[in-house]
Amino acid sequence: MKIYASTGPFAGDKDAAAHIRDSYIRPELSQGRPVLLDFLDVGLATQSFVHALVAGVVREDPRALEFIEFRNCSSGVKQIIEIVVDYAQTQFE
Amino acid sequence: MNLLVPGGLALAGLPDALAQFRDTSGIESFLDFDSSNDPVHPAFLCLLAAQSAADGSVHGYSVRRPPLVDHPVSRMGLFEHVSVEGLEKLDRSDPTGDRIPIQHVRDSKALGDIVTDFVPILHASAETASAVAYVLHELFRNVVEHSGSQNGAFICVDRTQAGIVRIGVSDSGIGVFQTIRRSHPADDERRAVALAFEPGVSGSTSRFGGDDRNGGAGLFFMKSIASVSGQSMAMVTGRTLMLFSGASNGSSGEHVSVQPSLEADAAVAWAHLPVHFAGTMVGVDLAISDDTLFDALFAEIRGAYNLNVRTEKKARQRARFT
Repeated sequence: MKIYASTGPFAGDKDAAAHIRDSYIRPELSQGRPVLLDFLDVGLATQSFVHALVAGVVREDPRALEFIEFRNCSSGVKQIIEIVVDYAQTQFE
Repeated sequence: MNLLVPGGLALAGLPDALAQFRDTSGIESFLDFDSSNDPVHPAFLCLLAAQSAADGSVHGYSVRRPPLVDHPVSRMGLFEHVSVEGLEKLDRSDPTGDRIPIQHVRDSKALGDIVTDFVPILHASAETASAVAYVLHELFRNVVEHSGSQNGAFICVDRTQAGIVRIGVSDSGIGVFQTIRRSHPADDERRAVALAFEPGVSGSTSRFGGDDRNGGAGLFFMKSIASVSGQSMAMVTGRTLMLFSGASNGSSGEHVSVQPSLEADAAVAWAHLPVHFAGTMVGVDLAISDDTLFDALFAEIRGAYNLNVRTEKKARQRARFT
């Protein structure tokens, strides 16, 4: 899944993120298939976008990350993904 | 309302500027200008536009002290959104290297077009341009998802001669207090604003950490961006003003620790306003030099975010990057 095709160079549209999550990520994972999220040419993503994209999936089962590949991420996008993945697994009292 | 638009208004001047507002419902309202020809912070302009929209019909003002010819507020499109009797409307201002005039944005596509078409025009570093796009997207999403605004949002950006990019976003929705108290206990507006900035708190759910769509971290991230770049951020909602002065966190180049709690942050000041402002206004100032990597900001944010949550100590899955 090429994120750029849905967002352009700046990934900030949460509706687009939710669409990718529901039409691609969840169906693939439910079938036990790997998920490829290619961020080529995406310069930056908002925390909100990445949250809508993967936080729910990760929160439900962090092992889903073993099936998700984040490809061609800029350093900024990588940081955002790591933040979201981290707090999505945080257990709040 | 009667008010004076102070030339050269910066975020730090908001407490005084807003303190002059008076409710004059049913009485002729005046919008006046001082003798300065200096630019007014975009957040204040958006606030005026949103308040006019909140009145339903065009809120008409009269003017007793008109602005100087070619006043910056004209170029920022103020009079396209705030009717001032006696002032000749100018042609629509075009975005230039130092400004994006007030834009009335009603959907994500329109915002995306603004970010794509106008942000690159700003004379700003690539890092700052990215930060501007980031802030605009996050603030507009807050309007769409939480404000209940029927009028979308007003956004406006300018760039000072010192190279600081100043952003304003304002709506005329239900305000932060009503949004937060739907899901979290908040006795007053100040507490609601503090919660809104707390990472993990979202107005869309009572669950700490957010839900599928909202992580409750957007405002915290933006305050952190302002903080690490040594700049300011402000929020006006209802009768409450929150002003964060990032410059007081340390001089340029010093390591700045991001404080996750507004109440515990010595750089935050609060003001009770004389009139009620419908909706929410947010102003953010950005100045990210080329040698301050945007991604380094997130490393700092990450550290501060983890300090704010109560967590079990257990190994976590890591994201896989290729």
